[in-house]
Amino acid sequence: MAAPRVEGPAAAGPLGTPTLPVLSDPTTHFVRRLRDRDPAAWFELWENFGPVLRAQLSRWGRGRIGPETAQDLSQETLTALADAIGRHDPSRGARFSTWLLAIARHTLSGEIDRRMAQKRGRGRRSLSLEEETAGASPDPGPDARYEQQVFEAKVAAALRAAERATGFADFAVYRSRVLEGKTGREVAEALALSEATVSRRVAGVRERIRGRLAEVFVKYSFSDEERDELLRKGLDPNPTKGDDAAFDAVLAEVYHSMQSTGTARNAPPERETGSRATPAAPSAPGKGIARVVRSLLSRPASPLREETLP
Amino acid sequence: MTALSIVGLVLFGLAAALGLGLAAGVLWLVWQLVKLVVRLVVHVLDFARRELVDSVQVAGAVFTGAAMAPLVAINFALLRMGAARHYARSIGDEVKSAGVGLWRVALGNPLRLCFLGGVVDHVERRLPDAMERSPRSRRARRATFEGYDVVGTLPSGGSGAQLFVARPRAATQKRFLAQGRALPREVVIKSFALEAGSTLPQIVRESRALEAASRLGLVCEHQLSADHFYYVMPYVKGEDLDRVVRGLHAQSSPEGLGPQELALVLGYATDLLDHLGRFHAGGLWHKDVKPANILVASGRAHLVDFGLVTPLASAMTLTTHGTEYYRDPEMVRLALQGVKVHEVDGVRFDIYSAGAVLYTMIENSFPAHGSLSAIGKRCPEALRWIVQRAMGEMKARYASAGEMRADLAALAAARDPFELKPADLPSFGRTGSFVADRPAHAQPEPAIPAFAPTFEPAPEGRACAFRGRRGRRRMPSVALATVGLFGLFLSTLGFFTSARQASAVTAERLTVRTASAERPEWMRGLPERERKLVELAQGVVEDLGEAEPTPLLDRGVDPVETSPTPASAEDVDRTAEEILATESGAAPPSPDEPPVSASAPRGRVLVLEDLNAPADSKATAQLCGKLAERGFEVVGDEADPDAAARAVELLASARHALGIGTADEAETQVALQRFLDATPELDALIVLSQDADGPGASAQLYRVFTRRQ
Repeated sequence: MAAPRVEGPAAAGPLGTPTLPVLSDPTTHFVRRLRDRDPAAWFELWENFGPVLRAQLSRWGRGRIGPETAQDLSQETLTALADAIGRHDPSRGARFSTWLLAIARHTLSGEIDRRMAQKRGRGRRSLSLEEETAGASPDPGPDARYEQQVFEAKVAAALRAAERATGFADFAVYRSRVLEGKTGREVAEALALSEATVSRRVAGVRERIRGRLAEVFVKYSFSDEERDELLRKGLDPNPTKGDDAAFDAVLAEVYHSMQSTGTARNAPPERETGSRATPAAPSAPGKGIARVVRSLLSRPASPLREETLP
Repeated sequence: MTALSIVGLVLFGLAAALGLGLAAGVLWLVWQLVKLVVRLVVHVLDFARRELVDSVQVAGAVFTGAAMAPLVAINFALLRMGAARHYARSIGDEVKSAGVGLWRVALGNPLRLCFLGGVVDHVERRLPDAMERSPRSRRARRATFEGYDVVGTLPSGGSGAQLFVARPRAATQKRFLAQGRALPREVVIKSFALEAGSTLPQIVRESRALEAASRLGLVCEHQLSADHFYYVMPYVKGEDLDRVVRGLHAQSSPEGLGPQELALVLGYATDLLDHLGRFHAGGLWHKDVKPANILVASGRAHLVDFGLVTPLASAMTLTTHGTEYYRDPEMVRLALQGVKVHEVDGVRFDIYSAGAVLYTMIENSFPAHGSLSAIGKRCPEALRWIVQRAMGEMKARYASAGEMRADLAALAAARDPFELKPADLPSFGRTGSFVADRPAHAQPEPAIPAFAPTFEPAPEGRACAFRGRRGRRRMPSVALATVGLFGLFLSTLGFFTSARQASAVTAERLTVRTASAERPEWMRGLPERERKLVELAQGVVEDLGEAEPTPLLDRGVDPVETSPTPASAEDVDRTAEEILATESGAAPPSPDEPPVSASAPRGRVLVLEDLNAPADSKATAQLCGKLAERGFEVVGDEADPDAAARAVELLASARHALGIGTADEAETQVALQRFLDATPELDALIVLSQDADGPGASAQLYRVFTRRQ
């Protein structure tokens, strides 16, 4: 099965070819769903990028905010995103990751302002979100670590989608053989398969992953440079036959990198009987993504900007 | 001369090499010394920085506290008690902050300077924790419960309740003994009081949980008064699994658990699954399985906290309650879609959590990436497989706690768990497409009922069997309740997606029905009354006026076309009516008798619909209408609220019957048949869905079950 080709501007030209800063169809569709307050779209965003936001907020607020607050702040960030989504202008050339980060930054500064105001006995000062969609020069800016985490989050989203589409059994073969680095023989023996079957299934899953990677990177990219990240990092969605080994190697590397940073960057789950830092569990009603989605759905949808969203 | 020169050169070379080596060694030592000195300087500077920062913090806290003291006095003088209390609490916080700072300045930082940072960190982490967990006798004295002496409190959870440790008085013990029950020496009382901050929704939710827990015998007694509500449970003294796991990993090497620790982990996991099995068998969904809710006492793991326990058959809307990383994200997705509890498979969500707990025990960390979380520590391959399967996609997940437990038991019984392969696990043959490569003798074919049709697998990309709920909402007032039951069935069959390629066993099963002389082979094996029921369904479908002959049971089989002398619809109806009327105790109708009899239905039929491949709503309504015309009662008439409610319960029970027992098609059929046999108020069950070709196709898939005598 051939890997799906990347449609739209993402495939418009080779690396570095200047293209118009216009969102591709999947991105447009996704942003439109966000603007329409589609709970599934918001959940998708939360599931894929919530951990990255939490990690970034924890890094910025080190010593000042705990994991629970970071969790709440990332919800605030998504709510701020809901407000900002209507004002997003792709012609300004911001990256998806930068855009996300700019809003996170304002959410954090807003929280700090609020705390200071509370200490002084005043209410919360409203924040200007003017710069939220600018994204051109956020300070602190997106560093390599953050960009790497966003990249890994996109790869993880693609892997999850491929896992769902492939089925447990075939994905387990690919996981053992490629992501966990076992030999074909080991996998075959462990799962009572022939080595030829292992190779065939690995090839099938690889194609699916390629397809999902292409979809995910088109969906979560605002600029051509972001979409070309797949190519730059060796995950070509439209490869030649000889690229398979390199593709697998890069994917395994990303998978392991993701694992090593995963638990470090996330707050531990809430505990019912834990330390003071994490006192409450199970999640109270209205906490988490449900609260975010409810708050989004209670507000009117942002008007569509047809001039920028074909 | 030459020899002397050579010897001289060699000696010189050796001396030079020695000299160079010595010089390099000295240089290395000097470099290490410099590094050490630099580190010491940095360490001392760090100490100085910490001292400075903490001193400033102490000074700031003292200053802030002092500045707020007049505010307390002023507000107190102005009788603004609320404000006075607020500032007093703030002063308390500042005092705490100053105390922490003083501890660091006086002891913590100097100890860190002496390279005892590990000890300090441990104290700073554990001391507040221990204080938080200590029984709070002051608070405990405030609460009184008739028949119990409160001796302490436990940390409150997220449910808004207060937890008290109490001892039953002698009179209470006697009262229980008189009832033939014994109370433990110590109990936990979970109390809700509006004045203590509990809210009505919390109380309502807990009362549902109480009802559920009572059925399992986990609650001793409960009391409800005008202002508060409480219930009494046995007190399990033990450490939570989090701490136990940390201890196990502390005893093991950094590579992973040792053999003894691994055996303990397998034991705890088995205990957990036993508990879950009890819950599920009792029709309950725990919904909050996580290490903090598992207590280890006397070497056994106990699942506690019933705050989120939900009946699997509940008609309530699914909520997102649970704990992140231990809760399947799919559940959140479904909750956001507004599905009902009975429309999802709560059993498999608990299984996911059990897999996450097992992951935590192996890794000493939480599964940050859900099903993609990798196990990096040393772990038997089969155990890795068990975790992956428990946390895998919904349709491939273990269908029951018992199935997962059996795999763990096999692993625990293995002489060397590291030698056991996933393929050796009892459940392995049920993992869908692996059937293809297994030897035939190793994959015993489950007992398939003779009438078993085989459905095509659900089309690829249907991630969840219950997504079609919005479609269900748009249905006209069809006189039946719908449920995701058959979706589960089809999604179970989805295992076989890949098996189509090479599974000889499956292929044989697929083709056996097509070798038909008069009617399909599988129909010839049917008991007479079942065959006629099947024909009844076919007759009804024909009456619906489809342009094309509608396939019955499977698109690969068309009994109408293969049967040279198909019975007329009236004949079929009559025969079927006789069967159902006999089973329901009514007299068989005569041919001239009008088919409709509102007062004496000729049989009760429950119609289930697959939400994964929703049948055409119009055709479904017509089917129900035709059944009703012929005198059958379609259970769950929306016009009758009681009947509709009963239908929901029936459907949920059917779904539950599937949820705890199915891993493949044959078991699904058996489970459905068992459900029907155990439900005397039903005479037949018809399951229908859209043809796998998609909603554009007109063909519906029908399957009919009748209750056995």
